[in-house]
Amino acid sequence: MKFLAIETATPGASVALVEDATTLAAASRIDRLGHATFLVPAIDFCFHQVGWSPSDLEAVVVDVGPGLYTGIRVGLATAQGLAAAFGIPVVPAVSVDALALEARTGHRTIWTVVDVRRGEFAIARYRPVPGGVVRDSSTELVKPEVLRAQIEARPGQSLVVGDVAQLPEGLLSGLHRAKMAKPRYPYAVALAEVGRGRYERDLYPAPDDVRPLYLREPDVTINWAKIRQEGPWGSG
Amino acid sequence: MIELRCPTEADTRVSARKLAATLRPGDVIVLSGSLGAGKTLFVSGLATGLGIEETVVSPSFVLVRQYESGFLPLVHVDVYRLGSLNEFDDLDVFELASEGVLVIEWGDAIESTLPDEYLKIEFAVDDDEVRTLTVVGTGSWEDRDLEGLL
Repeated sequence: MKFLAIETATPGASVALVEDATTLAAASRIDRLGHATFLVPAIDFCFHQVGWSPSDLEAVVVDVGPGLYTGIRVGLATAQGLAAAFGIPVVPAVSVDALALEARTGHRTIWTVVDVRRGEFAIARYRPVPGGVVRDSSTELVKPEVLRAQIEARPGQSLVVGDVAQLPEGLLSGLHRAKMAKPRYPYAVALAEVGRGRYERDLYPAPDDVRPLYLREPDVTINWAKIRQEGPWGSG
Repeated sequence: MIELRCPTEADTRVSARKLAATLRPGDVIVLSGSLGAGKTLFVSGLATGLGIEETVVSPSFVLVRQYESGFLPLVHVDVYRLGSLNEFDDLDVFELASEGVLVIEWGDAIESTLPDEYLKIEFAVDDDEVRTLTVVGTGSWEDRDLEGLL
């Protein structure tokens, strides 16, 4: 099976061309913005290195989040464009799963942390099993204090991976049973691994139905009539 | 809270320029007040104060305009044409402006998605066309000296 993995949900953007379980080419760049300028040239570079063309692909795996809104949309739009042009599926994978897969531990509970900005973090909990990890929680958006409280409440030892550097200073200090570790950002190669599992089990929707996973609040319609009538901040 | 009385357009611009001198990367300024109250004019003055060379044009139709030629990048947003909070989130403006200054016109409409810290400026126009700008800071803005704007 030949596929492309696109990872743009965090400042660590990367792409990989993978055949079965073998990574044939990968490219990455750490950049808070600018995923749009990195992505297509990076994909092109990988195709050149491997000698494939997009028509060789059987699927595109893409990180649908949680993470940075713009990055996720850049990645998903590119994946859906390739899917439309070459009639291949888009396999959605989530950022926290890709992080957990690269956490190196034999026995610790794994916590994955993705910075989604504005003081919130996407977190999920995993346990290591032979050959991989199993997710033990849903993915949720929380304030940093909630992450600390959850780790503290968990018996046994923990390993915290992801964008720990973005957590408030000292947030995890004094948690003697917890250790911080790499990776900081999900990597396309790990994402490909997550996506391959989903592809083989047919766990993907039609390309047009793949949506970003922002985990944000339910949408609220702006009540313009009220704002115009009552004035700014409802004061007038 | 301070109140700035601006009888003329020049006064509005001067107030904005004074504010520009106090701004830091990451600052968020929210403007509210009726159409024609002087919000875009204020942003124009702010841009001048930041050393931006381009002319500031209302972002009402394009939603977001960016100016890079000043001491700090300026991101100017108008939410007047948006229908929902998710549409605002999709613009990802906090990310876009994280190293500069973000100004949001009609920002009161999306108050629940605003960060904890921002400067709120409310524009009121009286019968003599005199503008009064009411400036209120939240978070660390409360500790910042805004008296210089008077």
